[in-house]
Order: sequence, then structure tokens, then C-alpha cells
Amino acid sequence: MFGMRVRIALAEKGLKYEQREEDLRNKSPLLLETNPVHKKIPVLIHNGKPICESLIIVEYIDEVWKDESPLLPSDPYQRAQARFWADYVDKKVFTLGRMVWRTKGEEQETITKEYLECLKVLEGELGDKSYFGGEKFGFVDVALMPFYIWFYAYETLGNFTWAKRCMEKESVSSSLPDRHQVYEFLLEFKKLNGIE
Amino acid sequence: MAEEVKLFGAWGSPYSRRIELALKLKGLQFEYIEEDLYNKSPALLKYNPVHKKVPVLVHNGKPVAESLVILEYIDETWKHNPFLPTDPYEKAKARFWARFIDEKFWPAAKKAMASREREREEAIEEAQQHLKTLESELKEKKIFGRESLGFVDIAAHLLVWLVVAQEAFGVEILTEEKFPAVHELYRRLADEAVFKECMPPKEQLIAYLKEAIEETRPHLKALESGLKERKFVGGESLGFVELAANVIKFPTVHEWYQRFADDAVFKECAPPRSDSLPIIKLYLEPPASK
Repeated sequence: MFGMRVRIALAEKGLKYEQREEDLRNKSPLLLETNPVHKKIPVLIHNGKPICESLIIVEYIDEVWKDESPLLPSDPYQRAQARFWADYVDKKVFTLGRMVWRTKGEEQETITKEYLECLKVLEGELGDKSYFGGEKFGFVDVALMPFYIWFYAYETLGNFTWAKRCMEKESVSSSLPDRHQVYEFLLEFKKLNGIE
Repeated sequence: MAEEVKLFGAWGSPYSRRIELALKLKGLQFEYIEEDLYNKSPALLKYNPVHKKVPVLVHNGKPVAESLVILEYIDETWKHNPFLPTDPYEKAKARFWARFIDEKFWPAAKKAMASREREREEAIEEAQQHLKTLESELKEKKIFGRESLGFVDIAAHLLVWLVVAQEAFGVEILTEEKFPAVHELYRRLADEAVFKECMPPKEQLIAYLKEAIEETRPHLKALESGLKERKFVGGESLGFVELAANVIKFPTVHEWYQRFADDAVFKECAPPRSDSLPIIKLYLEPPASK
């Protein structure tokens, strides 16, 4: 999920990179060495130096390759807004979204309501713009896009136009797995965890 | 152009104080607006409709929320005395450690304060694990040990709050013996004039922390409204000793407590604290507002 953000950012900048798939149940020594604190993916290694945490990595990429397709605006206030909304995606969309899958019955209903509220807030923020970044695809779009694959699985509202627009970008469509595959995966996950 | 900088904050909030700290480090003039977190002003709700929290910085009428976002905004708008390094890799590291302190360390520390017995032991363990991580980072790489105070130091100000909270709750998480490097950082920050200015008076803070961190608060609120509607459950089990400090906020509960607490028979029949808290949670509606 978070790895996708990095892939999108790298693709936006037109960068060539080596990708290593990790088995999260059997983490490689390299992963543990480069991210000893969290032991999580994604980790970007640039000229031997590791950077961790997806949004931090995306900002890093944006700063190092700043001449190509900037993801963050240059104005400090706009940047603050972008960072605020990316943080909102992490704090709300991600946290609530995954709970929708892990609960059932009344609890799931309550959480789903909250989750949809959050998506409404995001929709409000998007407004008439083509992207969260305005006319151009930006930081918040990168932050949110991977969660689009969850949207299909529980048919949400209006975000589809924005999402379709993002999917038209080569950098995005090449970085995300097929929605149907994810849907199947999530169904399996539920079965395995006894969530009906 | 006249710069208008306003900070909506709360004297007992470390995140709010952190922004004060940042503004002071930049030598900026600002208007401070104290918020009563139980009675938030329309202005705050207007400027931070999404989270409705402090701190919120309003610069020339435009609001910025979330403390780390605000810190970066301040750093990018007023470029002297920079908090963040210019090198992207060093910047990424600084952001990483600030996040670590905020998202891993501090919640674990708060949990240790708020919980009891076994849960508390586990929470202390977790918080100390995070301190160990900080300890080795400080020893090996000295990212904090620069001449000027930076982004991570501002975030690490939480260590000063931690030490006060430790005293308030009688918990030991950060000790000099176990974590000499972190402790040294704490000392450096605690002694720094600007950081000192941004700490509330110790006794006041201790009282406030007990109120803010202890989990009893949401249940007390529920009990307050429950009692008003003549629903109640008995016992010393809510730790009513703490209530003594909260008379003004919970007058009905306090009055009710006074009626029962001294009754010998009642005391005999009251269930132990750990048993009744879950029952109380079941009986009472959670507070309507979040």
C-alpha cells in the first residue's frame, strides 16, 4: 500500500530503480538493516543511504529530483496544506479504512460511517479541482491514490472521477495492482480471519 | 506589509507549546490565544474544522494545523535560524525522528501514565524500547548534537514533559542510568532558556497532566451526565480522590460522591476499582461529543 506511493513518485520523476520484493513474514537482512526502527517497507535506498516512511520518502524524492514534475507546490502555505491533507489520509483514511475490514456487525457499521465521513471531507477538499494538487497531480494525490483500490471493494461515492483521472496517468496505473485482484485478496483475508 | 501571526493554543498542551517554542526561536512576534479545550472557541473551530484541535497557527488570516506541519511552515516562511538542514537526506532523517518521537514514543509514554499494574508495566516496557532506539541513534549518529537547536530538538522537547509527567504519576521511564544519552539531551533542553519559557509552571502542569492523561476523565464526563439523569453506580472504584481536584468541572459527581464516600456500609459493599470500571463503562453512555 505505502510502497505504491513511492513507486508512483519515482514514476512521476521518470526514474529508473531496482525493486526488491519483500516477504513480510520473512523479512530480509537488508530490510532489517536499513529500517531497524520500524522494520517496515517501503525503504528507499539512494546511493547506499536509506530513507524510511512513505511520505518522507516521497518528499525526499521531490526534493532531490526537483526539476521534474514537482509534487509539492513552491508556496509555503500551499505546501502546508498539502502536508496537512496527506497527514489526514494517514491518520484517518488509512486507520479507519483498515478497520472496516477487521470488524463486523454494528462495530463495522459505525466505523464505515466514520470512514465515509472522512471521504466526504476529502471530497470537499477536492472540490472542483482536477487533482488535490490543483491542475497538476501532486503530493496528496500520491498519498491517497493507493487507497483507491480499496474504494472499489466497498463502492464509495464521487471519488471515482478523480480516481479515474489519476489512473489515466502512466505513473499511477503502472504502479497500482489490479483492483479486482485486490478485492479477491481482501475477501480471502476476511475468510481467513473469520470476519463474515 | 504587516505580518499578523496568531497562535491558538492551550497552556498544558505540549504540541501547542512546541509552536510557541518555534516562534520564539525565530524571534517572531505573535498573538497568543488560549483555548479552553472543553469549550472551544468559534474561531478555533473555524480555523481547524477538520480536527478541531490546538495548535493552529494563523498567518495573515490563513490557518495551518498539525504541529509538525506548522513547524515546517514556520521554517519555510521565516528562513533565518533554520530548523531543518538543507540536505534532503539529512532533512528526511530529521523528519523521521520527529515523527518517531510523536507517533511512537509519546503515545507509549502517555499509555504508561494512564494505565495500571500489568498494562502499565507493558506500556513502560514499550516506551523504554523506544528510548533505547533513541539512545543508540544519539550515541552513534549524534543527529541531535548540533550547535543550533533544530527540528528534532523541538520535537524532543516532549522529553521535558515526560520527566514532569514521570513525577506526577510516579512512573520511571527515562532514567539517567538506563539512557545516558537521551537523559543528556533532556538536560540540555530543560536548561535551555527558550525551552524553559515554554514549559508551564511545574505544579500546575502536574495537576493538569493528571487530569488530561488519566483515562478517568471521559468516564467522569459520562458519569456527570449520567448522574444528572439519576443513573448511577456506586463505589470508590473511580478513584474519587482525584475528583477532589475536579470539583468545579464535575460538581454533580462530586456532590454525589460526598454523600456516599463516608458511609461505612457503602464502603464495605463497593467493588474493587479494577472490577467496576468496565461495568461502569457498560452502564453509562459514552459522552456524545468527541
